[in-house]
Amino acid sequence: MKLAVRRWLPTSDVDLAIAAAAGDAGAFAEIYTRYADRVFARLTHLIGPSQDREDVFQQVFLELHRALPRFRGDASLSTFLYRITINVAYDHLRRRGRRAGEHDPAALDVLITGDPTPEDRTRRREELSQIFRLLEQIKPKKRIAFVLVAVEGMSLGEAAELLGAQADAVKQRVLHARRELLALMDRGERRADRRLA
Amino acid sequence: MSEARLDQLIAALAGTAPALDDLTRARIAANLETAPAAAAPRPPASHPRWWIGGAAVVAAAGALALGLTWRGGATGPARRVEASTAAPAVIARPLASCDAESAVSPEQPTAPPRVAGATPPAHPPGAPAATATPPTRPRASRAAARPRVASAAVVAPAPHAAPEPAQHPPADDDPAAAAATPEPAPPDIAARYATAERLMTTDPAAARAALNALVIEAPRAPEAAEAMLDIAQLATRAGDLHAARAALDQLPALPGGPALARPAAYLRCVLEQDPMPLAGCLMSFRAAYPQSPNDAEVLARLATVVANTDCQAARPLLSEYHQRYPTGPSAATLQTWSATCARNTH
Repeated sequence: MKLAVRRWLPTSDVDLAIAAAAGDAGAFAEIYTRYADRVFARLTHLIGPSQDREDVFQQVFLELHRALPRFRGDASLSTFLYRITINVAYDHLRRRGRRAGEHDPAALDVLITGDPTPEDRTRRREELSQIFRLLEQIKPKKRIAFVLVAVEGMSLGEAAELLGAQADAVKQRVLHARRELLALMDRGERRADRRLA
Repeated sequence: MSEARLDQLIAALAGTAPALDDLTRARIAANLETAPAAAAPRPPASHPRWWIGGAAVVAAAGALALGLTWRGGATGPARRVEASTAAPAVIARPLASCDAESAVSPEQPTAPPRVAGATPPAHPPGAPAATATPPTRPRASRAAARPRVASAAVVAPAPHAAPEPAQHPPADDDPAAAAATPEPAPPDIAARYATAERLMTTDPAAARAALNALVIEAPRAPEAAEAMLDIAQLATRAGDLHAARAALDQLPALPGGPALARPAAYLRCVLEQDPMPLAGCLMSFRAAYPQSPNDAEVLARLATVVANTDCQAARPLLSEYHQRYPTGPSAATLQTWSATCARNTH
């Protein structure tokens, strides 16, 4: 697979996908250029700023390259690619299992936008660390549904389309995820209280 | 308490902007480039050996049949043999790739040779064949031509690929000749462009696809630049601003592209969404093309955009329009703006 951008490229996503599926390396490079940032952002939300995130990110585009011949243009290329992103993220989370790993503070720092004060930066870093720790402890399916709907602000219908599930099922997953996250937080607080007492 | 805290954590995560740094982006792009084995769909493990063995048997049988044919029919000097043009014509489709090395398929060297004089693939009348063929060359037997058809079937294009006219590429064993020979523009490009142009009003999606295919297949044709501009216009109408900008970016490099700089510059202004960049773009356009036939439209648009935010600044523009184009299509609308601005400033 060569990613050298060539000169004459189709401009629409569908044409790019068709050209890339036919083996056009330039078209595939253009797809990568257009979507790399968005895929990376979504992937980070889904799996956290873990060390293996770059491998997973790369895997998404490898899977896209394999799957492009199946692309029929029924959905947009972005939807097609995000489905792949979600599937790859799901496989990764399932393989990784539920482990509450510590996140590298530098990796969390990079996620923080704007120019906050040092105190604000520390607070936001702790918040991110906590939410990622909590998300690690719920099942991948629920986690993904929760991130898509609660964090990325997707409608249930949009999330359902990406997940290939019914909107009601997605709703249940989001609700369960929220309940579990609240329970985990309560448990954590009680533990902290006991330690203080 | 926990509910509020959870919402706070969610907001913190939603407020992040994970960005791919340039180094990582480039590294992964390089990895993707050098990972063909991982990326390419793999056939079952036992398949390749069987396939290679089968292919060898078929090739041997083909060679034997070909040898027998020559021997049986030869009465004079050995007949010339051309490389099959059928397989490369399909493999090296413009959509497949534009670089020469990726256009060469592993099947090519083993493609059964075509005996000169065998029925050539249909090509436009008048189009010269890549290899000069003496008109008196004897007709070859059908047996020799048969494997060529089979090879073409193996590499048949994907169902979504547009049908293409057969071409006669330069001989594969002469890369210098291949590089020196200019890519012949298919003669029906003008007709295809005319068809696509007609489709623009009735079926914009089909028109866009046809224009895209045309630009990809014949980037050096005189119609390519106009087709690219049309693609930009269609994309603009469809609200696909990214595609429209991409088309405009590619336009100047096409032959004839610089001649379309003015409409392209205007279209680029139309793509601006925010008032300030739009006003700036329109002003630059007017400065660059004072005699533009679109000037009335550009001036009207500029006056309206400016009047929306700053009546004082819009006044000279509004007066200029009324002076230069008193019966212009936007005269009535701009008259209303003039009245509104006059009311607001007094």
